[in-house]
Amino acid sequence: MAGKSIIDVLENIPREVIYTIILIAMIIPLLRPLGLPVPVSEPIKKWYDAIESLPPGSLVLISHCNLGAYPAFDSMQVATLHHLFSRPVKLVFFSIDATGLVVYDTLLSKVDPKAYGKVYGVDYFHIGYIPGGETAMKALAEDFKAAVPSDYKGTPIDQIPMAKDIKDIRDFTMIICFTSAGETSIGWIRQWIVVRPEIKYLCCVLDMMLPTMRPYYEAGQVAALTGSAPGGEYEFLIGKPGSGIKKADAFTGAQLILLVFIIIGNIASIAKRMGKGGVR
Amino acid sequence: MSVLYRRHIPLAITFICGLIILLQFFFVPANITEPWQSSLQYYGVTLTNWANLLANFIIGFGVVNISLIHARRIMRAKSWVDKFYSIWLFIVMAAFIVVGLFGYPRMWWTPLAANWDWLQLYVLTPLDATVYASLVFYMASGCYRAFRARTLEGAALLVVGFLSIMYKTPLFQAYAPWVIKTIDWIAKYPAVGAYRGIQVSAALGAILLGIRTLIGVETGYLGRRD
Repeated sequence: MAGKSIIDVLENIPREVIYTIILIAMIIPLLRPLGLPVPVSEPIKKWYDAIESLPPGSLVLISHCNLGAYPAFDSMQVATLHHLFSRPVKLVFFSIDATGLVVYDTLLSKVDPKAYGKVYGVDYFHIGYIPGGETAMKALAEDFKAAVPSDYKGTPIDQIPMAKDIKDIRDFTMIICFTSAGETSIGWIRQWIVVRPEIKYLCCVLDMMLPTMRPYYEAGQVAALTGSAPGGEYEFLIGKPGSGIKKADAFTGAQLILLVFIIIGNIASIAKRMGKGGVR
Repeated sequence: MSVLYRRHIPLAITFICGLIILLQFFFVPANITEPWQSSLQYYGVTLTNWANLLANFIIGFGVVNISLIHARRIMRAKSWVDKFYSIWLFIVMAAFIVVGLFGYPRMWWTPLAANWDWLQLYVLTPLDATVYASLVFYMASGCYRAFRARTLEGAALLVVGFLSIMYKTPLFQAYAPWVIKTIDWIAKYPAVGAYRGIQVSAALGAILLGIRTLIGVETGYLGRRD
């Protein structure tokens, strides 16, 4: 950096420096939680209320995320499962991605259904991965048993007690989707909600996808819409603190540092232009 | 091959399949009362399930395609360094295929079930998560460089971007509720308006593309220009 003024350096901080400082800002709160407040936002309250208002015996389809996105959705999915298993509802898990089976296993290793008195095949089961994306969603909606001949372990669907009464989309009360893919979050609307608007659709996407989903939420097609980041809020709301609350401190640390970098960059940029003859 | 095989038969299949799915969507009610509705529903469901089967086939096709590309790369590479990643891809792909065939839960014989779980949990999961999580650093660096008030548009981007980051920071959610209200307003009105415009335009485009495909004007999916 020889020959460069301090303004030049601050205007173009090397990316390695940014990466390192952001990393430190994330790691410190994870190792030593700061205990910052975790306010419960409106979307999380709506998510909670939607699950809380499910009538007993309701059938809920859970389309969980793929493996790559799992760290982002971990806390929201785990908290949602805790909440769902505590309610008298039946769950059908579905992998829209080939890597989803591992996600299902990981989720159930964190949320023990037996602790809530839930039994596989009676209160919940997993239909596995069906390729095709939206055509798979359409197939499930039209003829459930034709699309799902067996569960994810190969047990014939007719041998699963709770599957005996599932015929098609009309048997479901709610879909809960966790996804990092726009075609999946919107696909459920196109293939399920448009066909049967009575179904409540709860959608959890990456925070950067929220503006894309917001028009559907405002139109009433999505009952609750949230990003993946506020998992800590949901954990706090249901009284099951987990990784999400720790991550909230890490988010604060990393994002505060990022805001500081943005301010520094702008001050340096303005100072440089003033030095060259005034701000344009 | 004659034009009949290359063009007319694929176009006819596309037209018939598309028409059945369209008719099923618009004319088959939730409670079927007429026999023709039942028939239409049956054909629609069958076609949808065929599409899922084809999706399975496409995964196999992808394996063949990627194998051909990397085999060619290995043959043409001038040094071992150039060959390394393609050879490594074959080794990993072979490992996953073999372990998957004898370890995937739905297979008829699963002596490698534990190995399959191990590969997924301790190889695929951390690799996938690492690639995904590393985006945060690129995005942070990108924000630092892009959010500069050099022009009026740049200043607007800076203000909205800055407020959006504050909106997603739990500390500000607790102590600066005005940020939540401001970004909520932006998300609810200007952003929704803009996105609706984009989405309606894209939907109209998709409808036109669908009609062109159905009537045989759009032939790009056939993979050649006739």
